[in-house]
Amino acid sequence: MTRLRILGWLAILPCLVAASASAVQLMKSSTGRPLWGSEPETLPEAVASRNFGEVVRLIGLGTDPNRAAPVRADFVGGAPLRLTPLEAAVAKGYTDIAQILLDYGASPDSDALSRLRCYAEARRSSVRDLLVSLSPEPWPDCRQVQLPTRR
Amino acid sequence: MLQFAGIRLSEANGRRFAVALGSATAHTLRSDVCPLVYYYADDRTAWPRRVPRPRVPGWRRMADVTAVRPATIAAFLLAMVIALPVAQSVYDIPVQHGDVLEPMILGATAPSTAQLFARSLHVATNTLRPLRFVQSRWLLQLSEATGASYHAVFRGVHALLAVVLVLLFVHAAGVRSWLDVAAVSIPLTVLLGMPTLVAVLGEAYPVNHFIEIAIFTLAVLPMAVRPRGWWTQAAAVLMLAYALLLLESGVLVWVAMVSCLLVGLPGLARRTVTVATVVLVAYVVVRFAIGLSAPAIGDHGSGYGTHFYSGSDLLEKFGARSIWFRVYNVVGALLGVLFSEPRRGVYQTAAIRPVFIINVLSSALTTSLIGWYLLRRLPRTRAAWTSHDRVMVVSVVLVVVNSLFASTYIKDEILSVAGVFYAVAAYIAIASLLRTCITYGAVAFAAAAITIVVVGPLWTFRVAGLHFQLKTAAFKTRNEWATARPPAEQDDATNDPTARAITRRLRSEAVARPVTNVHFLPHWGERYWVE
Repeated sequence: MTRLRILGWLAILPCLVAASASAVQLMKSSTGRPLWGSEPETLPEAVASRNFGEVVRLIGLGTDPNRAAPVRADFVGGAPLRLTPLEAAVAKGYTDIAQILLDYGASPDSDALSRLRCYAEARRSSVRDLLVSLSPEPWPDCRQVQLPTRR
Repeated sequence: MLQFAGIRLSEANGRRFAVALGSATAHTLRSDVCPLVYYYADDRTAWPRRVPRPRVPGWRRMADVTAVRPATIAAFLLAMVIALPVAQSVYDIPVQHGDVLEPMILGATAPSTAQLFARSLHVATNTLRPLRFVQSRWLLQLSEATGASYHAVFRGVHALLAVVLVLLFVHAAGVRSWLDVAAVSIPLTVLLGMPTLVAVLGEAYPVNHFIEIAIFTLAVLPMAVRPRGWWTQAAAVLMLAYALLLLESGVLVWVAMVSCLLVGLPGLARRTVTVATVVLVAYVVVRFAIGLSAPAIGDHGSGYGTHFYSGSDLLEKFGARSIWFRVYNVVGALLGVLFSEPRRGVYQTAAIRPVFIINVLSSALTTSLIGWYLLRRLPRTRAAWTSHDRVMVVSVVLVVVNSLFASTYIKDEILSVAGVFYAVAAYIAIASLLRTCITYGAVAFAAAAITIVVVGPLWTFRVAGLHFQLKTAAFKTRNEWATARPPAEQDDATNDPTARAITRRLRSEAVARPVTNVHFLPHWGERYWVE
């Protein structure tokens, strides 16, 4: 009987752990903070994590696709930043999501475009061609352009 | 005192029998449900040559079958607690983009269900799946009638099916004692951790019909094991007919019925299986009459060796009728269920990732437990088999036959029934391991304990990976909708106004509903959970 109990408990224990984790998951979901992390994102953060759905949703809710917003550490580099959505896309080298931002009304002015071009240059990003197609202006001298970093 | 083929039954209060199986696993059952005694009896107990058929009303037998025990309640609670978050993860996945639109649009635009049924017979050249379209129509109508979103209806049904499958598994296991609860706990994680289940939960067309087939096939088991009733006979045949019109894999319901009869489980009558066979023959005749062809090599992409090939590449490489490639697929599908490798026909030879070790080790140990049971129990004559032996044989048959369905290409969804019955087989093997451990020597007991200690946590870890994969699927599906086409072109997607309205509504629902960003999921998850 002792052996039976030992084996029985050994068998059921992992399942009990799974059930406990599941119960915690259910409870946390009901409080709006699910166990499998889902946190509110800014538009540049959604861009940097290739969260296309969230990008479209946020813009649909009225978020300005040209406006800079905080970006937490680990989304773009290791430090917190403040970037526009296009800057985030260029920094990560995501041409497809940059194109979506442009489709949804992102329109960088000439200063912003220069910064973006320099950022693409600095990151050796593949969105360079997209940025070239936006404006026939010559490529800026990036030594005089402040790159989007901590502001 | 009564005696049935080695089982001693003692009468108490004129109504109850206690099954004398030794001190540990005695069960108390009502006298009018005698066959249950055999089913829940210890696996050392022999099956009687002739099972007495109770002559009591069906409702009364049902009441007896569902007689509530604390252990039974605990098992269902355990299953429910594990299944609900899985259902939630399934529900969070948006309705899929792509293939899903065809049945929805066809279902919405057909003037009547009858016309939809007739029209759906000619949708494809090698599939007969009219109920796939009819189901979509029913769910669209439900959405309209209730005012619920498409997401709520379609994803809600899929999530519900996930819960039903898990609860049905516990029901089929027939948990009656605390020992059974312990025995069913690992197979519960096997059921949810199998890659075949990950596939049927992560995809939908718009409801995943493979999970429906798995439910129908699994439902045959409790029907076959428990006492006969007219309603179980009718339900079994109806389930087969429904499953056949839903998906070709519905044939597995018939395979389950026939194998249950052949191994001697008492619940399904020979007459019932005969009627089921007539239904199957009628289905085959209709397929021929319509001119449907069988699936051929090249219809879908599949793996070979260490690479995945597209359908056209396979056709070029093997031709349409290569026996070798079919054998390769069947063996690969079988190995994939038993050892979690190869996946989709592709063998991993590059850098071995942690997920490979975890999956192969857990599956290999579980398969070895099943093999141990088969070697120990089945060399006996069929008359000496217990009900667990018989269910084990049915499970093995279904795993093998389901693998045959993957002869032209390997896809996890196709093997969903094999995955479910692999978990059933694991339950029987583990239950036997626990019940017989008191007879082991020290070394054998230590080996059993080590196996349990390794297998349990590994499968539990794989279940955690199920959540990871479902969250990732939700993220990807929502992104597919968001990037479906640039905003300016959306209204030109199709000329049909109904199709355009459905597409637009699905897209807006998918985008409007936030899902977990994979950025917030564990970064190591890919290496440990995703193959």
